Amino acid sequence: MNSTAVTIIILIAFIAIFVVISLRARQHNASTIDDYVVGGRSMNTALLLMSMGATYFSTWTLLGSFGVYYREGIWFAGFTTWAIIQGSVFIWLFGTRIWYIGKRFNFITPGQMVEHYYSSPTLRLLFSIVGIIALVPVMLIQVTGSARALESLTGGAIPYAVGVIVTSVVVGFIVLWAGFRGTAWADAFMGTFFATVLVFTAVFIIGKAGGWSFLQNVAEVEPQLLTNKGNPVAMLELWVGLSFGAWALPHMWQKFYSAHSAKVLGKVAMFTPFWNSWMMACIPLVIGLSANIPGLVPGAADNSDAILPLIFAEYAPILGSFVVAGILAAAISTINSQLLSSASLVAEDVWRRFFDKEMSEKRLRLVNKVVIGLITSIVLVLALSPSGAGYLVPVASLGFSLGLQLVPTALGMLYFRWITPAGALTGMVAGVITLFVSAATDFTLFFGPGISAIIVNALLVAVVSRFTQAAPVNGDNDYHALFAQLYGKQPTQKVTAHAIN
Amino acid sequence: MLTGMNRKLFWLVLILALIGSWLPYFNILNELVWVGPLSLPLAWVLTCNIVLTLCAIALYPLYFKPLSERIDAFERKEGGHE
Repeated sequence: MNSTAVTIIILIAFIAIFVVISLRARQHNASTIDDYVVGGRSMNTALLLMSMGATYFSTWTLLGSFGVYYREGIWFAGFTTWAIIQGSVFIWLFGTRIWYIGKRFNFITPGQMVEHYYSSPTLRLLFSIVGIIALVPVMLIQVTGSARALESLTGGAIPYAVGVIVTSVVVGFIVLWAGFRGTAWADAFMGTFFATVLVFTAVFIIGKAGGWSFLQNVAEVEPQLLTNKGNPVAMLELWVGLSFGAWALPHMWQKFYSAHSAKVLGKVAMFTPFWNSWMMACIPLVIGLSANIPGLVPGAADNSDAILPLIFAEYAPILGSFVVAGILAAAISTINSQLLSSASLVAEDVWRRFFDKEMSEKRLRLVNKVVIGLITSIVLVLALSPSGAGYLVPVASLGFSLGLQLVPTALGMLYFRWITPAGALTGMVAGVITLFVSAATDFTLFFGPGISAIIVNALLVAVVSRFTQAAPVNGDNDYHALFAQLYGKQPTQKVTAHAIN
Repeated sequence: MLTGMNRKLFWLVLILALIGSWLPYFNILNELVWVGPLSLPLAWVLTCNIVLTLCAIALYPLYFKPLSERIDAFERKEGGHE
C-alpha cells in the first residue's frame, strides 16, 4: 500500500472519529437556541480551555507560523509573549465583563449587547455585519491552508480542490448537526491531537538538528536569525491587531458567553499561557528556526509555509498522514466556531431582529442551519478562486484588522461611558472604510492598514462622542453601574435585569 | 489592604515584564552571545515570558476569585430584594 492510500485511510478514520465525538456531544444538547449557539452557558474549564486554544491556534500555527520563524527568526518571538497576554489578562479585562452581561441578559450574540446598551438597532446591525465579514478571511485561511498541506504531503495526489471540498464539507456538516457543544468537544479532541503532533515533531527535529546546540547550528548558517532584526512597529501592529481584534471577534465573544462561571474563566486564564504560548507559539519557533540548517528540511526555502508537512515527507511519509490529519484538525477546530458564530449573527442579529421578531426558537435554529450551509458554500467558492490561496498571514490579518474596528464600540459598553451611539457608529464606519481603502490602494501612513484604520476610528469616536448624546440609560442597561458594584467600587444598588431579543 | 498592595505589585511586575520583552526590538539585550543553549535576546524574551506566566497564574487569586464571590453576594442580595 502506498503512502497516499495510507494518508487517505487515516484521514477517513480521523474524520469518522471526529464525527462520532461531535454527534455524541450533540446528544447532550437541549433543543434551545441558547444551547445550540453558546452551549447552554455550561462550559467547564477543560472544555473551554481546549476550545479557546484550538480556536486561537489554527492552520496558521501548523503552517504559517513555522514559515515566519524560518524567515524572520526570533524577531517573531514577540508572538510568544502576545500569546500569554491575550490568553490571560484579556480574559480578565474583557472576558469576565462580556460573560456577566451575556449571562444576566441571556444574550447569545454580541449584537444583542450592542443594541441593548446603545439603544441603536443600526449599530447592532453594523457590528454584526463587520463581525461576519471579519471572520470570512480567517475561515478562508483554514480551508486553503489544510488543502495546500494535503496537496503538498501527498505530492499532488490529493489536489488542492479536493482538500478544500473535504475541509468545507466536514466543517459544515459537523457544525450543522452538533452546534456549540459538539464543536467544543471536537475542538478538545483536535487540540489534543495536533498538540501531540507538535510535541512529537519538536522532539524529533531538535534531535536531528543537534540536540541542545541546535540554535548554535542555526547560527552557523543564518546568524542574523538569532538576534532581533528590530522593526518594532510591525510587531506592534501584530499585537494590536491580534490582541484587540481577536477578543472582539464574535466567535471569541460567544466563547466568553459560554463559560459556566467567573471561576471557570479564571482557571482558563491561568492555564492558557501553557497552551497558547509554551506549546503553540514556542514549538513553531524551535522547528521553524531548525529548518534553516542545510539539508534538514529539503524544500523549506521554496515553501516555508509547508515546513511541517515537508519534515514528514522527508523523514516519515507514513507518519506524515497524521500530520495532515493534525492540520485538518487545526483547520476544523478554528473554522467550526467561526462558522457557527457567523450563522448565529445572521440569524439572530439580522433575520430575527429586522425581518421576523416573532420567530420561534425552532425556526431560528432552522435559519441558523440554512445560513451555515450558505456560508460554507461562500468559503468553498472563495477558497477555490485563485486569490483565495495566497500567503496565509496577510489574509488573516485583514480579518483581525476588521475585528479591531469593533473594539471602540465594545469598549464603550465595557469601560468608557462617554462613548456615544453616534460616536461608535461614525468611528466604526470610518475605520472600516479606511481599512479597505488602505488595503486596496497600499496607501498607509506610518502604520499598516489595520492600525491606521483604528486610529481614524478612535479619533472619530472621541470627537463625535464629545458633541452627541450619550446612550440612554434606563437602569436596566447601565452596565457601568453594574460593573462598579461587581468590581468593588460602589456599594451594592439594585439593577433590574430584562432580556431582550 | 494587603490585596491592594499585591494588585499594585502584580501590575508593576506585569508591565515591567511586558516592556522588558520589547527591549530586543530596540537593540537592547540583542547581541549574539549565548546563555546556555539560547541566544541572549531569545533567553531574555523567554525569561519575561516565565514572569508573565506567573502573573497569569496570580490573576486567579487576585482577581477572578474575589469577583466570583462578589457576584454570588450581589445575586443573593438582588434575589432578596425581589
